[in-house]
Amino acid sequence: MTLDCTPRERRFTLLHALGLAGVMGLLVARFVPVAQLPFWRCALREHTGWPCPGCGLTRAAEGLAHLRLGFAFESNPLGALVGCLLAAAAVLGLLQWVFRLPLPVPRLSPGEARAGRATVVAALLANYAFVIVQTRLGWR
Amino acid sequence: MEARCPRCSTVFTTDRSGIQFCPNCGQQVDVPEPAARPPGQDPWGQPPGGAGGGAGGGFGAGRFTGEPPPGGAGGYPGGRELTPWERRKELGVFQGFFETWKRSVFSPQAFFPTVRPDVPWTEALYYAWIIHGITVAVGLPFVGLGLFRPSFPSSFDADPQMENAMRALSGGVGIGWLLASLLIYPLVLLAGAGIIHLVAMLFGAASNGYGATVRAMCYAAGPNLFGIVPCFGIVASIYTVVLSIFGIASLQQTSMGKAAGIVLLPILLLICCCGLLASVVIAGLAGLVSGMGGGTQSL
Repeated sequence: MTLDCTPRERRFTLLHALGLAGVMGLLVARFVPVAQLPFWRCALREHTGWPCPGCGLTRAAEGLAHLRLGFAFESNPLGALVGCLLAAAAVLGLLQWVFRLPLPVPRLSPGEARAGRATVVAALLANYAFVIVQTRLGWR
Repeated sequence: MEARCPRCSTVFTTDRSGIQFCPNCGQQVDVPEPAARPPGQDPWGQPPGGAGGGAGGGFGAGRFTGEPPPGGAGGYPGGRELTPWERRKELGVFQGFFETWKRSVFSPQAFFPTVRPDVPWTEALYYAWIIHGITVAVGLPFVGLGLFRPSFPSSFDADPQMENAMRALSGGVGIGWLLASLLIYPLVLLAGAGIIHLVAMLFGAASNGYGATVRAMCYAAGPNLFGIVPCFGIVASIYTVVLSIFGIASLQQTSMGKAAGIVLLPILLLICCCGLLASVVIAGLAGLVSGMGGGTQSL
């Protein structure tokens, strides 16, 4: 892996876009009672009893938005982690925009990129297993 | 040989052609063979001295002038060219807009492979923003007169919360929401493109950068104009997704299968999570098929 630095300039990049997505998502989770909407439910869980990989994401977002981190990570650990990363992207993106900071951009070799993708898939599967155990075994 | 980075315009010396990284900003650069380069053009088909605006955009990169964008008006490897909208200085704003809309909606297979990924995305964002503006302008009277009624299942009407929500979407509040959507539309589009690009990176199909993903999403927004026709909103949404797949496949130079995965994965997650889209799709299709959607207006 090599690290390249971005130029010192104000350019709207992926980091800013993800930060924007994080801010908008957390604002909605903070001020809109999404979980109370009658149509806001998991169709898969309702019809089969099995949760989907995204079950608990709304609660995780609400937990993060209200700074109840324990509840957020209990609800959907990977979702809460991604939420934290998006919030960090928002802060970092804002700092980069204001101070024109150069940011390190990792460049992965093909092998490293494959390993990274495999890690993401493994994390998704582990998270889904956690959600299934939580719902099927009556933890929640 | 010398090569120019399309993102930061840095000219660097290299001893080989093919994919390599800009030493200044790290952007992936495909340096063509020297023999294939027309005389008087730099490796990106730009006139000498033409500043590469880069696919990364930047809010100051695009100007609503119709001038050739910083990416240069010249050709691009692979037969790509500026869209009619990006050539509106020579074609006229209306003609440029209409030609782009017509080609993107009615012949996407011919249109998207010709779209350049390196032009600042602000150009494409203006195009998508205008489409949203037209949709809002046409929808305002319907909302103001209380005719707006989203295509939700009728069982939701019995729920007091839904009744309140439906009431809130009509009249003055609805108009306020619509006008506010004009302001937040570019933010939502950029954030959505960020999510899509993140998935594209997971699929290993993000070689042309975030700007190319934004451009694909913006030029796929054409069918939204059909959303102003009653009952056609859901069809327009589905066709927008199809065009997004075409756009991602062409601008990120990946297969249609990967592009479909990139676009559909976040949508499937949303359907799984809340059942909202599933309900809307089912209700919309039911209304469409049975012809009972009279008085509906999907925006």
